[in-house]
Amino acid sequence: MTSQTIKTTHNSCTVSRLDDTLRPLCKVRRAGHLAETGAYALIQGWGDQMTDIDTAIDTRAMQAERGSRLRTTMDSLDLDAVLLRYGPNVDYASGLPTPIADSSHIASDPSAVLVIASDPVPHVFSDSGAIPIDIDSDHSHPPLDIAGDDAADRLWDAIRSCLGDARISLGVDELTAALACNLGGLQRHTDLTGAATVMAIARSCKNSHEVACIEKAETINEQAAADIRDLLIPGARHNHVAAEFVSRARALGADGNVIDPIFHPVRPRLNEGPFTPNGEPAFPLPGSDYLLADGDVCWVDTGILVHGYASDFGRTWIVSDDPQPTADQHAQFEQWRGVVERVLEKVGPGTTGAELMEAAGHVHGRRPVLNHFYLIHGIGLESAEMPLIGTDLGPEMDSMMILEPGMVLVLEPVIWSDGSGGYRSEDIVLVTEDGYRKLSGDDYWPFRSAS
Amino acid sequence: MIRPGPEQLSSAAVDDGTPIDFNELRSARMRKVQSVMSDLRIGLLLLGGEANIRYAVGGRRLWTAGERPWAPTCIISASGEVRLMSQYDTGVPPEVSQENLFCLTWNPANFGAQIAAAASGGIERIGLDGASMTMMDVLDVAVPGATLVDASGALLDARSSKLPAEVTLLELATQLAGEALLAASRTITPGITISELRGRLEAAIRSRSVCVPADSDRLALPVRSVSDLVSSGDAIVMRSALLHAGYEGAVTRTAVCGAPTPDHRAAERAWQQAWEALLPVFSPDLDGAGLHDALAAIPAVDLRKSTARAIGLGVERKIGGSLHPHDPLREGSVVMLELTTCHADAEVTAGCPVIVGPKGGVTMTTLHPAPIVVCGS
Repeated sequence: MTSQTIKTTHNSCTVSRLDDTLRPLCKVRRAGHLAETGAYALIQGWGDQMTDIDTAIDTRAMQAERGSRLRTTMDSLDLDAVLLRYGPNVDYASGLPTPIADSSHIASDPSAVLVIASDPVPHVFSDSGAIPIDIDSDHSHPPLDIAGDDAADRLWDAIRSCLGDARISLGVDELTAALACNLGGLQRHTDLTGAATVMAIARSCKNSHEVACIEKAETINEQAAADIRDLLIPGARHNHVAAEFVSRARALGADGNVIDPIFHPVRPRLNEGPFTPNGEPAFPLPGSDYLLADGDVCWVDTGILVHGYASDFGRTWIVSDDPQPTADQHAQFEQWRGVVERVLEKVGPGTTGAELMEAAGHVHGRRPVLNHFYLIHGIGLESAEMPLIGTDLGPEMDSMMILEPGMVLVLEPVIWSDGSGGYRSEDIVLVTEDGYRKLSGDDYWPFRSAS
Repeated sequence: MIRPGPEQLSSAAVDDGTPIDFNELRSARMRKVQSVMSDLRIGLLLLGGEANIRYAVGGRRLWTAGERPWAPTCIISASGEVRLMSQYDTGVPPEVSQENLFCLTWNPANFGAQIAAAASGGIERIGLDGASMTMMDVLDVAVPGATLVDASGALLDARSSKLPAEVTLLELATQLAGEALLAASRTITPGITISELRGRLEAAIRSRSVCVPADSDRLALPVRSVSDLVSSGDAIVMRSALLHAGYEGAVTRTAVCGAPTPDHRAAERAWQQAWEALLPVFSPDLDGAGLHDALAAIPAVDLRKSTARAIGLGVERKIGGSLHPHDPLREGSVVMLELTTCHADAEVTAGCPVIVGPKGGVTMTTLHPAPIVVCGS
């Protein structure tokens, strides 16, 4: 293996920085984009931009504001306590981060949080070495053992030790199978309800620190994507492009990568497959090591984390030594822009999801969405979270979704014309008091470049 | 050890050139799942745990870090018929018919419809591997009056004893993890940052056949250094953990930038002696408490930093810790054992999987048996 070796020729270079025994020869189109030293051309103003964002992030203040918002929301729903086991909820309520790991790793080392509406410090039940410093020893406990026949009794004993014997209204998100089989054991002591609503309301509006985390994650993601896009040439392997992306994102300051990076060729006709149960384009497919072919139209979707907050970078790229969209592809891009602009005209406090769906209209005789996804999703500690607009929950749910300041929305319309393929990109905006502020960049290469 | 060559076009767990009959492996695993269902007298099994779904069905799904809210994305009838939430048939084994795939959905009622259809013959007992309050409401409507049964422990038991093909796949995954670790460690030079190194190890993992990182949080951690910048003489714990064909491969080594000191070498010898001393205890019936005692009996071992996790399709459970200290290991289980030993100021952390056998544990072969990898010199 040769490390840190980049051989340059006049207009292309061979990348073998990591492991040339397995890496394909990737010609890079523009000499200078990947410099001979391995350095990349940073987006103009990168350093100032990152400094500004970092200044806006105070993780302890972020946690204090999240806790306050959660307890206020609990009060409004008459909940005395919530017991949270789902990672993003645990993180939101306590600051205990969800490991960036396979779900099996997390399940083998479970954490839980009990938030009491009248107590500003949550009780954390965990073996993790990452207990936040604001959790004192009275609120730090061993992990909950809630498997087996007496799981409900043991859970109630743990709750009672924090809250006393009085009957309480308790919201719970995730159950173990053992608890599900003996809910009565908890209902004897509590008015039991789901915690999905309280957590969705609390988490859907972000404080300034949360917004800054998302903005930083998105900025890193966009830079990393810009740095590796020239690798999408005929003959490149998908998994090697993905590897370059995650490596670059880490070097730029990402805490981790949260999804198989998707650089997924979409066939122009649905009957070219793969089969889908709803007859929609197959997206997003899992990572693989297929070879990219000249002219492949790739729907790109990637996401990284900063302080637990996700980015969401979606674009449409074309595999080519010299990507030049066709007239049809350009028209689809313009149609996508049209949908986004119509929707953004309506974005602001008080607008309903139904109004946004109406603004999106129809393109080529269909809603400009993939029917198994949405027109809009929220983003935060999960890459897709409430508010969800345009899902299979239906128009009634859309009409109940009312925008509020602090919501961060990912707009991801999809234009599809069978036979010509489709265009998909994602824009991220923050709902403000008087409209919105765009958090994602304006580079839609190769369709339109910010530069 | 056969492993994918650099030019191999492995697009799935089922065609990467390993000497595995994946059809037979999936069939054997499903028989074990059906045996669990029979023992628990359940007519329908609702799975939301990704590792359980990997075990029962196989196939390849989009990987994401972290959890998803529990939902019955895989529904198995006693006959072995599978209904699977998948947006496409790519990576779905042929025994799952296209008619039995259902779309990604945000509407809990759609899960209810799938469950009701699968239970249309009248099902009295339904097994689960988890639940959420939302899904409890769905079950009340879809299968009113059905008795719910906790199948999570029985499924874990079924998964813990490995079939021969599973051991081969764990060895292959471990081989790939070791290759990735060595490839990334060779890029260590003074001046590299820990963040860059984590990225390089993750990239090395993703570059190998079709692998995803199993634990991105702990890829590289400096030993006793607060700086993100690696200097000559620094030691870095590198943990390469990946999933290949769904199976976990894991290798941990301590990379020393530059020449290891005599204290490093002494800690390394202590690690080797501790490893040899511990292997015999990895026989059936070892539990967390027993392992704790065995580790505590070796003075050079840092008990707080040493870990053991049963692995298979990801991590099955932690051995030790405060949960279930007396759950025994079974013959054929595979444990990722990681030991930390110290000598003076030097510290060495290393580990790899151990197969539990009647005569003690057997170390899975790794490319680089020594616990220290010297780099950057």
